[in-house]
Amino acid sequence: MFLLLVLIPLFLVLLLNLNLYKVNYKIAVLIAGLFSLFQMFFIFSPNFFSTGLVDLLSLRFECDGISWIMLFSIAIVSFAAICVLYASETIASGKKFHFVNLVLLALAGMNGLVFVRDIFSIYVFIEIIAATSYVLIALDKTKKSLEASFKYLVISSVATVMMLSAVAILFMAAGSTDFIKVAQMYKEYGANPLIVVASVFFIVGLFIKGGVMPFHGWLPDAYSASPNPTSVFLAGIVTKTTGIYTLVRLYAIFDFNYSMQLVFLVFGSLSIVIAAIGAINQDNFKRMLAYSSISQVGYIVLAFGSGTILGVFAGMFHLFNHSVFKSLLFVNASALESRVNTNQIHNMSGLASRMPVTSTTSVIAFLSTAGIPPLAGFWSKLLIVLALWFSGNKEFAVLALLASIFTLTYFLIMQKKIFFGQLKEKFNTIKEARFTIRLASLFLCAITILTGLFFPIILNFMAFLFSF
Amino acid sequence: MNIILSIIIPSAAGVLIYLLPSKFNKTKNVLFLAAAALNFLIAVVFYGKIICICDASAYLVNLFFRNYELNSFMAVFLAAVTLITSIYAVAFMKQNKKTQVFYGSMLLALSCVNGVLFSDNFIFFLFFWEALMIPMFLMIASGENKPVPTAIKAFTISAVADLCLMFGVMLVCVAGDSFSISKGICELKAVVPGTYGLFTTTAFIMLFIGAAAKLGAMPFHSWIPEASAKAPVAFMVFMVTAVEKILGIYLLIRITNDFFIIEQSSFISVSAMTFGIITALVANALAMVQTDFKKMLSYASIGQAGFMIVAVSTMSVIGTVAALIHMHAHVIYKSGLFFVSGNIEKAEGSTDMNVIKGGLRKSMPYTFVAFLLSGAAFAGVPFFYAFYSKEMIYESALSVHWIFYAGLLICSLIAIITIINWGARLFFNGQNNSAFEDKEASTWMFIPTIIFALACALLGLFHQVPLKIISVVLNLNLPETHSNVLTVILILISLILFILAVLNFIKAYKKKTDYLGYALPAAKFLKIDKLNLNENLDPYNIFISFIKRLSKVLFVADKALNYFYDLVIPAGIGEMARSTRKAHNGNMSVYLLWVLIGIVCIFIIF
Amino acid sequence: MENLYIHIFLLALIVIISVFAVSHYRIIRGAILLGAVSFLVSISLFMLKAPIAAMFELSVCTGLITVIFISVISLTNPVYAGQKKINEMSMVKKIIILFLIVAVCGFFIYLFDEKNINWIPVMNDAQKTVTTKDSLWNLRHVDLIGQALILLTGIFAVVVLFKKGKEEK
Repeated sequence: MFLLLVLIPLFLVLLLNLNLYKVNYKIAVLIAGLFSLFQMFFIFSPNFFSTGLVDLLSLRFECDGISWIMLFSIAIVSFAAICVLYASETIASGKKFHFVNLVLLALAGMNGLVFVRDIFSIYVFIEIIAATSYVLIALDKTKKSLEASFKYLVISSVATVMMLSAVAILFMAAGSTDFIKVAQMYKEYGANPLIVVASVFFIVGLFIKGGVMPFHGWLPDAYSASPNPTSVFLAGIVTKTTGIYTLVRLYAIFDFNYSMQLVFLVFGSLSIVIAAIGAINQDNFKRMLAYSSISQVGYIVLAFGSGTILGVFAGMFHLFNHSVFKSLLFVNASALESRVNTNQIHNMSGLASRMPVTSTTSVIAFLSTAGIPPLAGFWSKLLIVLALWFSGNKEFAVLALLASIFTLTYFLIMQKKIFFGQLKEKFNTIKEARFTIRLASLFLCAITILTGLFFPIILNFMAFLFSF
Repeated sequence: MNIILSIIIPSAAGVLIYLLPSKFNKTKNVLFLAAAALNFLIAVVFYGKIICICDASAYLVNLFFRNYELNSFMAVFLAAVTLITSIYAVAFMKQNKKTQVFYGSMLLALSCVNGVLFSDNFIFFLFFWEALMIPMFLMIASGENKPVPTAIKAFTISAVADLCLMFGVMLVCVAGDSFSISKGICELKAVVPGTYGLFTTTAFIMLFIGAAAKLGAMPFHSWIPEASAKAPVAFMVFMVTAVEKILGIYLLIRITNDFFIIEQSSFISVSAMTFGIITALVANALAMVQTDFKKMLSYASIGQAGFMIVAVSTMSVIGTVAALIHMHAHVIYKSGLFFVSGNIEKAEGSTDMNVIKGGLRKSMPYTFVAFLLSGAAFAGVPFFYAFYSKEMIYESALSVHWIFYAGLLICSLIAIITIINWGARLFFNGQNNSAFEDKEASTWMFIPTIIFALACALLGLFHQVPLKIISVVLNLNLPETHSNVLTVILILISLILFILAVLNFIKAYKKKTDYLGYALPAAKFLKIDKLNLNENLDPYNIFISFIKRLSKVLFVADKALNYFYDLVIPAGIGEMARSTRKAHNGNMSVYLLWVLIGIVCIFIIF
Repeated sequence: MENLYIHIFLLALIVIISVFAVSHYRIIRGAILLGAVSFLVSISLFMLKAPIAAMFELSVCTGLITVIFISVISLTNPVYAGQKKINEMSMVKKIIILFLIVAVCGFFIYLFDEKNINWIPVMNDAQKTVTTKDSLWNLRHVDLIGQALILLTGIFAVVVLFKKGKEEK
């Protein structure tokens, strides 16, 4: 039944564009929102995992626990993005319609990516998501967003080339691109230099997609120059699905030796530290969040670097948490932008009194990011540190802990400058953001808090998901 | 029904006194006296019985009498002193709110002391020992003449000493591998004496410091004279004279006899004796130059603590017995003298030498009699109780080295000169024309005074009885030394000492202004009067000023650290952040270059 | 083995020319260089015995696209002087990058030359039950969906980015 999650958006896109009825953008947004909600609840349905439809079309699709977590995150973030889209005042209504179409396509792509078990298909679906992302970033057609989109395009194309060549090499060696065959091949020829080159190329491609330092050049521009709903969508889930989730899949295939782990550990910690430092001095709110995003991705990569199942578990949990709180922060950023009309931090001050929902939820999000108990971020960071510690990479565990201080630093600076302090006079008449944005904020905030509070239950559930 | 009542009843009564509204002042007095009396009764009834707490809670509250009845004896003695003091306190003190706090605190202190004495568990022991500080603070604070700074001082000093004790107890617990006192002791005793390592030695020193500080030995003494001027007389009798000495001696005897086995004239023993003798000498000399009767008494009290430390530290049987008896005797005569001072204060409004014009023997004849008896014991006149205890201390000191004996003799000489001086000053001197109406103390104040005074004389006459009791209590067999030639010689030397003091007095009497005679020039020569006046030499003040200086230094260090945290680190991070930001200049070829470098790095790692 | 050297020469030429194509400040020359790259690629494909691909490359990429590019570019305005200067300044960087690429390639060649390795690891026959044809066509149902999605995305990209909406008129 899970195949529906790929087919329905495809069908919806066709339906919306058939011009059978005069489709208003509001209806389109409503449909997309309903679809994301449907995905959120459909994955809980008992016969969700049944493979009848897949067998019927003889497709090589599978769904397991890790896919499930990704599907849930995708649903949550796309719901938030669509909420923000509805409230957005800067995007013209015609573009909103196209935005919905593109988001649906990206959703289909992401859902498909989550299901595929074939390295070439991975490449194809990543390209779908990337292509939609280019358009979504450039949707404004301002100079900045076009530039950002172009940068993403160029650097992504490097990744594309690398992944494609890696796929070619692996196909040549294994005679197939199926996960199982490739895994078998890895067992036999894992040490062959050509195969090593292939795996490095694949990893680099995914690092570029995920925005790991130093392959992140496109990311701050793309996040900060793109329209608000795109930022939410991109930062919340797109880069995580294309870059990070795929790494988890490769984990199962590639023969992960210590040097591979070391690559993960080194680049993960590099991302954490340098991106956190980079975030401190930023004046653009969204750009700062972009650096923070790189830093958090570093945590996830670091967790994978521990090379244990606990590490993968912690990384996936952090991925989920990160997509929730980072999209919450981007939602707040768009709330601010919709009212203050700027992203420059130095232009804002004392907004807590005027925008209580936004300020409260952003405080919770940043506390969660910094890993303050009992919020969700604390537990995932704890798991990451534990995984690193028990796998013997104690120095990286300590580094991960210390880097939390940086996280706290830049978020405290941000909070102080934006929400606390003296309220500027020109902001006296500012009201809270529109309802749908607030809805998204509160929804994501609730998930962060509940995940933190009911951590034991979540842990059990995730352990159940990992068991198959 | 067991000994735990002696902890529950006083504390319950104390809490009740705190809580009752001030309307019931008389009820409170009655309650106070009744609790004291009941405590005495309990202590007597359960004397010497090994009573375990019922089985169910045995593992929780493991309190019982020790075999050799030392704590029982102490408890009975304390109960008796408390009862008498409480009568005096009720008669002496004005009925106000502070007094009620005093009563309640006194009862709480009593239950704490009982707890310390009866606990066979280090945790309870420490708990009660530390808890005692709170009633002590409240009792000093219930004085009338701005007592809170003194109370804080007393609290601080006690706290420092108790910290040492706590550390020592911790070490003992580790060494004995048990919180149970009796079990831990068994483990400790298994260690061969003389082979104590650094660990055990540290434990001993810490416990010794705790006990000596409780006794009021020299660096921990400075709050006592101050408290004597601020706190009620009943506090001085109950807390300083009775409780502190009883607990101090109890712990000292426990650690030297039970916890550790220290050899005679070993290094530790001699150092402890030196410590005691210095305390005795300095405190007695300071006592001599005091102009306030109560202050003199408190300094003398510190000096006697030095005597007891010397006696215990000889690590001999006779020394231990002597220390216990001397403690006993000292509590009795010093309480008597404090009551005398209280009576004088009530009548004259002060106990300062310069305010009282003297000649009180006519107006306060009974007090005078009490003073004579207690003062004779203080001076160590033969056939008084303290005489025997002092002789035993001399004997034990002589058995180690003659120099300790000589030091103690000098102390005694100073004490005799001092008490004669004060007797002449207070009760003779004939210039009694002060504005106060001199009245004899009331009956209820007089009775406790005379009880102690008579006890000095009677116990002296029948000194064999307490001696026997104490040797039974300590489970020690006193060597029969009283027929020795040595003993006779020692007594003769003491008598000569006495004669010397009297001669000195006769010589000084002609001047009529000062009865110290040759002692005063000697004291001035040694600059002891300056030591008395100079507050900077007070160890507490030195400690406090040191702390202040330390805090200044730390403040500067903290400032530097803050500077480091506030400026250097943020500046460093800010600089890094700026350079990171500069690196992200939006130039795509730079970004592509990074990608290239990253790939090369990965290949290098592989 | 002469073929190998020709291949290496061709590939190096492709890399160098494509770098110049990307980094050239005049777009029209960039387009021409791109055509040259395509041409070289088609030669390479011919030599690798893939004539259909080579023909396709030659006709579409070298011919058609270059013509479209050049015709469109010639309709736009020429670059003005300031921009030219800035771009010429970064020539040093380009050369550095080029050298780096060459160095990296040389490094890898050296690295692989050092070890006597089995260049092309091929799975043993037992596992090679899936034929190339199978794996390329018969098992690619999944990618059909992907292709459909990409097609739609492309359409929307064109619609959003290149079609002038009513609002913008």
